Amino acid sequence: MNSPHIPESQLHAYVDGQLDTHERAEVLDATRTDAELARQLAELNRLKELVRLAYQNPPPPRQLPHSRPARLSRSGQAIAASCLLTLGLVAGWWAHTPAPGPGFQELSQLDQPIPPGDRVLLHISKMDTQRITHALDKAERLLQNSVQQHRPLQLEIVANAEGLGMLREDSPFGDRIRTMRQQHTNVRFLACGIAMENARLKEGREPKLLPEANKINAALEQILGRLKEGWIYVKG
Amino acid sequence: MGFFWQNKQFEQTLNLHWQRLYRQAYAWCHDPQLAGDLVQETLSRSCRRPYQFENDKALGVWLYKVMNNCWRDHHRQQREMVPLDEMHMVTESGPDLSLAQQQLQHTVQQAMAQLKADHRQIITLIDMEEFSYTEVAEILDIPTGTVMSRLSRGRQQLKLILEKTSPSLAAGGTTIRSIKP
Repeated sequence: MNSPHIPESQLHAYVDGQLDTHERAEVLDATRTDAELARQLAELNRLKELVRLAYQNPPPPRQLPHSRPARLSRSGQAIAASCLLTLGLVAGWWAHTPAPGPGFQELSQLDQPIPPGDRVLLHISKMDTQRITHALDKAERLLQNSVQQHRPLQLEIVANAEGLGMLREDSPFGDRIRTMRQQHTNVRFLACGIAMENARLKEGREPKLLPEANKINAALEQILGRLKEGWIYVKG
Repeated sequence: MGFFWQNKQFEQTLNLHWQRLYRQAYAWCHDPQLAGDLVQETLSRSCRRPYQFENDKALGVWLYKVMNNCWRDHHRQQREMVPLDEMHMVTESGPDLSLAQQQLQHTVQQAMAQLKADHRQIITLIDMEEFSYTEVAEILDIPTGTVMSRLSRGRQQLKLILEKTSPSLAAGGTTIRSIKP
């Protein structure tokens, strides 16, 4: 595939727009007198175009089999929109502020007093016993503080991906979650529907949740909806 | 937070990023659900690390770098690729595509699926996203020379597969002209 004057790597670089003006002119000059070289260039351009076309309209992510609102039932728009919203928050956050924005907090920040009437979403995505224990410790402290200080609080603990294990019926945190729900009416445990669907596909049966947990469409959808409403997001 | 939602132009830029990330993820794994998960995980991981970018291009490179790490982690966990017979047919793409378009996409995707994963990644990052060789080297954390050599080998392999499986397509038949970008 090599031309005597133009190495193959130069041809790839030409079609990929990696050459400077002088180098491009050199390749173009060579193609005027070298039909084989011109054919090779056309072939590379054609391959590039085929690859672009092959992935122009990828199929959307599969839908959950049920319980998805009609407006989200087409072409994976729920996930697409959710990711777009996340990206909006994330990229805006990156692009405009070197430090985390007010809606995002570290777990350690939960020890600090939060504004009255505030709402917090705690996100669990890993089945890491130590981390979940730590996150639940923080959540309980937050709930207790809200009672002691008579501060209204709404807390949602959302589990997805591996973190779904925290809310499954065989969860090692089952007793603790049950106690938390009994003691506090302002905490909700929510399981990601996509993670449940993935578990169902993997295990061949519907995963069972703790009675205290409720299924939602998608964790990301919940997180983004809450962020838009002004909730504080905390990664557990 | 309100600032971000009022900036329509910025939202459009981000929309473009999401679509590109998903398309790229799908090109890497050929599994719509996994591609969606990869993008979701990419965004989730991105949330954890605040970072300031000089421009949109730098943000894009970083996002793909994060997604590549997600993809590597997935491989470490799975240790296998999606078998070809489990690949999703392009007929899922939607009603807007003609049969000829679907066939073309299916043929090229099948050929791409036979490439080594690292070759496929480089080809799709360069051909679809138009990243420079240097940017791809940064995204994949490999030397630029490796990008160039793998690109060359990958394209050569793709050409050979297409010549074998679809000679008319490889030779430049009429099918491609029926595609409207």
